[in-house]
Amino acid sequence: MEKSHSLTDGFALSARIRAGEVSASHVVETCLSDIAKRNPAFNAFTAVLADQSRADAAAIDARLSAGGSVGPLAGMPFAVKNLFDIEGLTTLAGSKILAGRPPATADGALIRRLREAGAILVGALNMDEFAYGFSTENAHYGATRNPHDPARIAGGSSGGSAAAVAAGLVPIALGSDTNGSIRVPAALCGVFGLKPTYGRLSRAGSFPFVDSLDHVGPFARTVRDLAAAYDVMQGADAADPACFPPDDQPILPRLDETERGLRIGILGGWFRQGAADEALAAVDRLAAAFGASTDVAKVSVVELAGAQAARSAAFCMTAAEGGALHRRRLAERPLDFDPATRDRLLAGLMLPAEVLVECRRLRRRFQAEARALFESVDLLLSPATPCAAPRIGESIVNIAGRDVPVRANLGLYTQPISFIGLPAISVPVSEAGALPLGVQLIAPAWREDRLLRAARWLELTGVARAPDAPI
Amino acid sequence: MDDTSSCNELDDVRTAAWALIGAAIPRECVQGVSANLQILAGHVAVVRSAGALETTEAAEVFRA
Repeated sequence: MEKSHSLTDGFALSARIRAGEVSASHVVETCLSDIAKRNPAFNAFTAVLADQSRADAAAIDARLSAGGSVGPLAGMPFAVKNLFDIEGLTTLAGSKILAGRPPATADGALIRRLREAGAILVGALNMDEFAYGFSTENAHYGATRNPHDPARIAGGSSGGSAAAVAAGLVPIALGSDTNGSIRVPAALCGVFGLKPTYGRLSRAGSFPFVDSLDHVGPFARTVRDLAAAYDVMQGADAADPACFPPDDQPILPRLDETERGLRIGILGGWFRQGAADEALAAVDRLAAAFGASTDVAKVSVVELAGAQAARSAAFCMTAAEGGALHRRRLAERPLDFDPATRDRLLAGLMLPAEVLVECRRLRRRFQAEARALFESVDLLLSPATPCAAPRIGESIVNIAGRDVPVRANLGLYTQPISFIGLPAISVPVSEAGALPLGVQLIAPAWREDRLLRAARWLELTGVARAPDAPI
Repeated sequence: MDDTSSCNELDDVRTAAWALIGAAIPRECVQGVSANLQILAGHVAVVRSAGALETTEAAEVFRA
């Protein structure tokens, strides 16, 4: 009998597989059995690739037995939001409308890169329809439940990805983030979620939403796993015209290095308005930890004055570009959409072109404002969401004494950041017995290395940690 | 707003959608679309209040 193992630390697990302490086949069997037993409680998976994952695991075990080399993620199970193409499976993007399309003929670019590194794809994950939402209450495939409280949402739109990682079913999952769809569910489920700089990771072979705002990235329970996945997924890709990174930036070998003299900016103004006390307290805890570090030069409160307008512009561009993408489907099969998605897309189709011109101009202006701010700070902090996970079915939530709509408010602090493509990571911060919260760390463009090192330092000092989920 | 004006408003939404989208919005969607247009209108107001397109900025786009 092989020793038991945890699926919460993929890096350590892969090292044990390479050392021959446990077989990839045993890991995959445990993973599949765990999914079968526990997934029904929170509905994260929409497809499980039992045969393919068993075959991949057997191939890795055979290579190891023969003394051959395997990749750095050998035997590490992972799963992906169901908008990524998986060869042989129809790409749903959370919809009923696409269910009749033929299966994908190849894996998406990031799946291919993870599999080349030895990671084993075990399934596809639930999401808001066409990635338009922050709650993963999918009208066709059901709501994904939060592993920390199944009566609550997992967040969205990559809710299945965050829930699967939070529950320890897989160490790594992939999601997409147009307005906060990695950072919001990562925060509500208490895991790490990285939205890289716009154009850093290839979106080839993933179903789009808003081309000028779409990002893809990983979720994990440890920063080391996040960095390991991020490293192997990097690289320019001609198949995604937006994927134009200035360089590859392997971070894992330098993850524990400290950057001295860091200047930390706590975002004030828009980023402190409309948040629950506990969300602000989580930011302040991180700021205090940075302030106590001898490596940090200063911690100060700073402003991005254009944030509110940036968020509104992101809102308009999303509706308009998303509407344009789905125009034909909206005209031909309107009743096959999730009503919440459809009505927003139809409204977006009616926005005047002049508004989009304004939004694009605003984006350039806000980008310049952020660039200027990064002359005086190295890293920005804000809440990832204004509150902890609302209950499933709740449309209004009371935050700081005000009743506000759940769907519109969960992206308050993430939308301005993705609008200008800055890299950001949601780090889990939670009090014992309380629901998880996330703090958003934001860096200048292409400085994911700084984000991951800061998150790692917070993890090592115990300030940030992915809490164990009870179910 | 009385029932008549509400009906007229919803018909306006359907007519606009017909022209712009190339298909009629089903009656069961009109209420939701109308509500979302109101939400968008709020965001449009915020965007517009942030400033108008200036000639010099337009020129910069072409130079870039």
